[in-house]
Amino acid sequence: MKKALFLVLATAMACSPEPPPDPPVEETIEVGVIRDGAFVPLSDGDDLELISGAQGGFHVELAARVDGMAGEVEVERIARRSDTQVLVARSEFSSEVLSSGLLERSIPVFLCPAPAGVNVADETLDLTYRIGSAVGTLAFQPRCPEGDAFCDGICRR
Amino acid sequence: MRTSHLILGTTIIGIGALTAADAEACGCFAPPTVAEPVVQAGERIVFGHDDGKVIAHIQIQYDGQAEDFAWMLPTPAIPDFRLGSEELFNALETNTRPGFMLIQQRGDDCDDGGGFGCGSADFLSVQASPNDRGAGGDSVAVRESSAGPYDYAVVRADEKKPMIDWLQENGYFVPAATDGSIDPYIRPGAYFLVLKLRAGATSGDLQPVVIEYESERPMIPIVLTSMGAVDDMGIIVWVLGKNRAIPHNYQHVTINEEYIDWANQADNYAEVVSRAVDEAAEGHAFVTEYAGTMDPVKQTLGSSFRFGDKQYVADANNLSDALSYLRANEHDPIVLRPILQRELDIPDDVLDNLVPPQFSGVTLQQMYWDVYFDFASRRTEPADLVMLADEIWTKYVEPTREAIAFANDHPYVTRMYTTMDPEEMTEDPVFAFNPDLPEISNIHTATQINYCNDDVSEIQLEDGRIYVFEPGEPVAFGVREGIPFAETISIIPQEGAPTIVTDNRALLAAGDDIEDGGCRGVQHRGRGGLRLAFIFGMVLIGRAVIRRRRK
Repeated sequence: MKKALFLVLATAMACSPEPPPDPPVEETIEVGVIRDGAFVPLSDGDDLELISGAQGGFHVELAARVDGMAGEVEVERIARRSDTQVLVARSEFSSEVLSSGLLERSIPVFLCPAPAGVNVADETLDLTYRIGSAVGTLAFQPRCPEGDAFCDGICRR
Repeated sequence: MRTSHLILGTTIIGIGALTAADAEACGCFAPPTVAEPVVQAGERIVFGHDDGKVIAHIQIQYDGQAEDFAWMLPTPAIPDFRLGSEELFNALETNTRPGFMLIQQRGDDCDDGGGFGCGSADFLSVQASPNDRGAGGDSVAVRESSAGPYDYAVVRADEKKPMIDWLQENGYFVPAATDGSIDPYIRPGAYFLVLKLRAGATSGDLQPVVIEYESERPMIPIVLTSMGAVDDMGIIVWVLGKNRAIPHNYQHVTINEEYIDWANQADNYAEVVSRAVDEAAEGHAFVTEYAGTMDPVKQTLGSSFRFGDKQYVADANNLSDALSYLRANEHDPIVLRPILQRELDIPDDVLDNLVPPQFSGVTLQQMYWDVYFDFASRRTEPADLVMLADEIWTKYVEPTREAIAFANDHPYVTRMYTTMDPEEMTEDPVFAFNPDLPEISNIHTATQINYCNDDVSEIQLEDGRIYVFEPGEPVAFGVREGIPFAETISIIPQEGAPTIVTDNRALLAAGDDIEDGGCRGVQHRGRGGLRLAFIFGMVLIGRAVIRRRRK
């Protein structure tokens, strides 16, 4: 009897199935900003104040948080006027993905001086981050700081 | 269909190359006074943009007292600074400068059938030293060091007064007219790179610099330049990349080549560009002079292996042997001039007056080597070849190898040019890329047909326009009322085709002398061409060198 029980248990252990593998993590990109040291995702339609850059231009500072990626990634980032789809800004850069999911490099989105003949301030822009097949988007409106005539001068056409 | 003439005896006579010498405007400084800022016009810049970083090679041209030299550049981040190489600029200039070639042809009414004669077809074209001194967290200066002939500092530009006070206290001269034009660059998180010449260095020791910083766009701080700029200040910029660069926030102009003084080596080219650019909104426009492969530039630069081994120079038996080794390994004797002239104690006029005899086949480089060997042979005291080799490799070889690598990293180069008055310097030009645009050649041709029977001449432009000159009339274009200098003015986006905002092509075509189906028609009365000296060079920042009087 004991021998039979032993045989039954041994067989059961030998044949028990492997636990199923974890499902692959979907590669995603969230677009947001860093506030008080923390990532805050943004929603379509948010306003972003244009920030004066050191070389006399204006930009918005955005951050991207990714999931399902690690190591060094190649980032393509494009901003277009939502209504006309005119290309306003484009950049390509590489960045390490931090353990938090944030991209180590956060290059500002350079918007002004605006392209010749294209108004940027107070227009809705479609921003797209692309890393491999993953895409993150945000529609936002850049705003000049209140009373900043220089910003108005180079961000409006 | 235009009247066509059999062409006999075609001869090409090239004219009007804008030489490198023309391109360099001498920044000759008057003694500094408070009342009159002095401008140094003549810097050229090469931008590369990769992986979110801008790399700028900047050639500084200055001719004045070393103690009056001051140079400032705003940057969005703490830049890396190192020495650059003249050879990069020489190679770019040689291979991309605009050339205007007038082809001379005999009309079919000339019985002799001979050629016009042959002419030459000249186309009318930091390592930081161990003295790297860090700065405290609250100090205005975040970095101070030396490289080559320069002392340099990176200073915070969060607030203007502390920055300017620091510069003055540390011997960096600040132009008196800086105040207004510097304001757009004073921002939290901003920086300025400032240079001065090291003790013992002279203006002859100036060499290009390389600055690298994180930025999405190459940009020229032209607003800062306005403080001491002259009218029609020339700006040349080369942008290296994967495809054609464009003016991002400025318009783009093509010139009306009717106004080029083809018969006089296109010496009014800068004036034509200036007038064409002025027809764009606010005078904010660039002309593209070349857009295409970097291959000719890379070929001129050669291999980074061509300099040989530094130890061979250091271990040479004597200075003449060292010079022989340098020459055999393709060191450029003209670029080495600051080092070798001082080492050999050669007077300026000996080298300044070297001119290769025409048709001799002798090059200027060969003449430089001859002078160096001559002075080396007369030298009695032994040279410190270890120190000489070290200086050559630090100041010339390593920066040139980096420049070669920089050139090799980029398959495409775009050269753009504009001129601006100080009051037009209201917005910094920024550059982007458009992969959909065609290449642009830097060589422009026109054909002059000289008829024998009635002694008239025609000039035919590349686009088919023909202009007739009567016997005895100088072959020169004057300004014609109502005929613009800009052929087209457009806005170039970052993708797709340009949008033409002003198209003058029909107007220009209507002004030539040959109507479709007709013979030579109304004579075009040429006037004396515009003969204005032009300032040709690129200004990164204007530099008024005024010594602030200490109270």
